[in-house]
Amino acid sequence: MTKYEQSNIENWLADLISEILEVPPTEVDRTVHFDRYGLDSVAALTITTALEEHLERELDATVLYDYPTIAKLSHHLAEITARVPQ
Amino acid sequence: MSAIAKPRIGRTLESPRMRRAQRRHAIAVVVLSTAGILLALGLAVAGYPPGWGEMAILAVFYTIAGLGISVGFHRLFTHQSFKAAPTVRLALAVMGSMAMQGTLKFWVALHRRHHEHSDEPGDPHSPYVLEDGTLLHGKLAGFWHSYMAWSFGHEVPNSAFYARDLMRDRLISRINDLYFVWVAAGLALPTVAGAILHGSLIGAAQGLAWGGLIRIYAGHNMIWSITSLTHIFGRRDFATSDRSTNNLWLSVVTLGESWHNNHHAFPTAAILKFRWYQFDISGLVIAALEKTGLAWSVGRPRENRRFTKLTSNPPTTGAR
Repeated sequence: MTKYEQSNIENWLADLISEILEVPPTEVDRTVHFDRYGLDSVAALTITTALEEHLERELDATVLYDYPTIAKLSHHLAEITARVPQ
Repeated sequence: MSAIAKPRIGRTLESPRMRRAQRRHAIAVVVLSTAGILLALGLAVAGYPPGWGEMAILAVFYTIAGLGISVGFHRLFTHQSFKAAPTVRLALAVMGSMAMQGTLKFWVALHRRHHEHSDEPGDPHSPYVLEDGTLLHGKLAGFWHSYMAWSFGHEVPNSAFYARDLMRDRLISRINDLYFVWVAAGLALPTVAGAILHGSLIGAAQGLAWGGLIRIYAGHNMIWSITSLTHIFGRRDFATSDRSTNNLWLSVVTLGESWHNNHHAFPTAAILKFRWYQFDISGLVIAALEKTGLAWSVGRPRENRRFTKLTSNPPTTGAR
């Protein structure tokens, strides 16, 4: 269950974005809008796809736009994975 | 504590949705090009054939968008063959977007993928092999695929893999996201130019047809010539691992990009004129920007490095 905890999802997301941007994970601000990272639609979809694989569940294609920060998204994902355990 | 798998970022993105979007974009290019040709024909039949004004508008906007692609998208953003002031970067990103060849990040990702796999499986537009590794045996099939057919069905190049440097650039990301605004501006500006030139609505239609729609078509033919012809015909001065060639006859209309064998041998060369006769308009523009201080760190492979890479046709004395 560990990987479904909010803090772990949050760290995992920060890791992924730091990998895309090639910056240290500590430089990834978890409260800024995804727009600010300069992600285009393909990059956003890459994150959604990687998340689906990581959490082993399908996600809305718009999830990054509905929950547009790492903090908000990880809270949302922790909530839906807790509600319907897979 | 279970180990948390490390995130992976693929070179291409498996996404039917994005593939459909790419296909729709390619179809839109064909539809707009056809509309432009029909509009120009209709005007000619109605007694308004194109004159010098239309040719001038076409040439001006072809050059604006073409330099945006060649100097900007290609030599600056894809290959970082020189550095430029933010104003120059901004202008080139906007000019290149007007060509309607996809967003800057898409274009850069696709072209970096081309270099990574040139004429091998994974190359989005090789005359010899499909992206999935299927060999193209027929000459005509190879030409057609690498000319324009590729644009309807290629993989989604992952910008999160190939264009990471551009993600970190706030200004460029902003321009990237406004792509359709720049495409629209590329249609609106020549329309206004035509209206002013002729002082009439007919003039506006002429401007839209020649400086907008047909200009987009012409710009695509420029890039399609590079993806196909400069991997099929022409001289190979350098023994690169792909089959890229140099073509003098295409050098003016491609703004210097048809020195494609030079380019594959030295991808970080900003100026592709290696010999006296190798006319390279984009290279001249970069040299001019350098003179005025707007560009610097201009990539010029040293002559001895060029010499050692030469296979055939040793340069005559005095060749640059």
